Amino acid sequence: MNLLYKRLLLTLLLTFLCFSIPVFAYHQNEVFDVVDEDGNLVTKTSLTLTNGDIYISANNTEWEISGKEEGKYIVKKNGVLDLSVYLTKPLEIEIQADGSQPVIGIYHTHSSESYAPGEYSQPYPGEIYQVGETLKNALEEQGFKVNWSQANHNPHDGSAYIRSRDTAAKLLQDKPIAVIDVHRDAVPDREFYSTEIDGKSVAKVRIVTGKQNQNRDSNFEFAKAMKAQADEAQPGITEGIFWAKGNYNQDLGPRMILLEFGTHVLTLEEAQAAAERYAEVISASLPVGGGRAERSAASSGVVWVIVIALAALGIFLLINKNGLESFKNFAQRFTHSFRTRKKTKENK
Amino acid sequence: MTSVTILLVVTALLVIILGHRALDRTGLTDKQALVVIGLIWVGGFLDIPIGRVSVNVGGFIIPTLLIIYLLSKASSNQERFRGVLAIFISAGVIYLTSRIFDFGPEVGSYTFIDPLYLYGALAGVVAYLMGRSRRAAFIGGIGSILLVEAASIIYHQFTEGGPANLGTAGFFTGAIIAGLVAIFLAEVVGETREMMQGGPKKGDNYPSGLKKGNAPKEIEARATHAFRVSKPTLVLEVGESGDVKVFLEENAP
Repeated sequence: MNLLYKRLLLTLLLTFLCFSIPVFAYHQNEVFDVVDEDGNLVTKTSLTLTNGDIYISANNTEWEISGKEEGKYIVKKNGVLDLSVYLTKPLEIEIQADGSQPVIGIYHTHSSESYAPGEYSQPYPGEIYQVGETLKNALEEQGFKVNWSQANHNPHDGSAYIRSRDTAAKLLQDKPIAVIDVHRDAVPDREFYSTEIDGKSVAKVRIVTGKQNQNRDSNFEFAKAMKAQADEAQPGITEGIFWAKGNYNQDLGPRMILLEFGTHVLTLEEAQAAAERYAEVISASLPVGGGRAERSAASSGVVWVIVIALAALGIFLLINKNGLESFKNFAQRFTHSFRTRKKTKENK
Repeated sequence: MTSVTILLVVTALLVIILGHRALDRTGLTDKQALVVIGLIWVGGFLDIPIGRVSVNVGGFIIPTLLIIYLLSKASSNQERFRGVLAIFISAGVIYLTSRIFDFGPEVGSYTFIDPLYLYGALAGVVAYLMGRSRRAAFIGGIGSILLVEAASIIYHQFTEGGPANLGTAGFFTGAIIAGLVAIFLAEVVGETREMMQGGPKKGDNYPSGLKKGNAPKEIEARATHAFRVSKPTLVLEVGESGDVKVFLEENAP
């Protein structure tokens, strides 16, 4: 028992140490300016960015995060993207041509998100569900079957994505062509996150794609396709695209996307107006016609998975028993049954 | 073959191989490990509605039963106690982490690692420190996330309501991935430690009860070997010809 107490103490001490390091570097609810090398504002975000992350701004300029100075992220210009290709060439989506209605899934990882003038964070169901419902109705008008999950994933904490993962996976069972996690941002700037369309104030939409998964390319493609369609049908509505560290359950399949409908200081009506318009954008960026999407896609994903698997296997074998010798042992064991079978045959 | 099918096949194979290897480390036989994987896979398609909560067979019920089974198969009550303690401490650590960090895109958060892997790693470290075994790491990894997830869903069912899903991601549910990460980490840490140490220590390296110096001094001095189980103290006398005599402390010649 004495030994157990020692271990308990060691565990608690190490845990405390592990916590104390990142807590110093952690800033809650901080909004960062993202500026170019001359100090001009490119965008604002609360997202923690790392070098190499990509942001595509409203005018389709691709920016790459290159550093952080005085609390501002510095970006360098990679060039201006020509997204017109997405208008003529539809996304490559493997579809089961069973003639059924194409399906879209909607869910809300952050179940308490709400808008001004009330509390920004409300008990389930937050106002974000009303944005989801508007998007659902608008997508149904576009001809989709929409599975809208009203599941509660509260509290809004670091485990919210673990809980919503179960919901996202459940939505995938119906082979949707896309699954959308509907959010609102937390940048406290009305002017920055709203635009005027047909004389009406409408929230801007930010697309967030996570880089830490094997579907990163197909999700980024989908984001760019939406941006291209939005530029045609609803110019100015897309705030931009982030392709940054994070996962947001996007490892579960391609075209799993996170959309931020405005920010907390806007009103619910402005966010709903954006959702109504964005349904048209989403619809236009997906192939027309019926059928369900295949479970997964993209050859880059295959390479990704294989490389990681091989790396893991390499580490595993290297640290096991006799270092590199274990590769030999592994190969011997692997061929053992084959060799013995051959011997038995020869004996016969 | 399309890239879709290849990715599906590669992922499925990997999950089966990794899952099988991981379960193998917990002390299940090859056959048992395969059956568990099959049950999780098939059970992933079965949801049991309890109120407004969909409880998945493969993603929640089978892993829970597996943990209970592994705990029941533990060699001693102490190991069992450690396993349960590992689950609760890991759950506490994960809960604290999730209160401090937000992994979403709206709050300045640490995105250097996805919570899916971070929680598995945390649980793995805690459980390994507690139990120093792959089995403890696996039990702690899966058990802690199941506990945190279930507790939060139950709490919010009472306070807020609304539909909820528990383990409906089946094989890809957070708890199972955390269990795999935990076991992988324990394997890496454990094997590295053993490799650096160069295998078991040689020489007078018996368990504490069998070490010299643990029995009363006067018996230590006269006996060839003496050890204390707790009480009584036993004296082990090894003769010139290799014959062995064991006495109770009070009966020792």
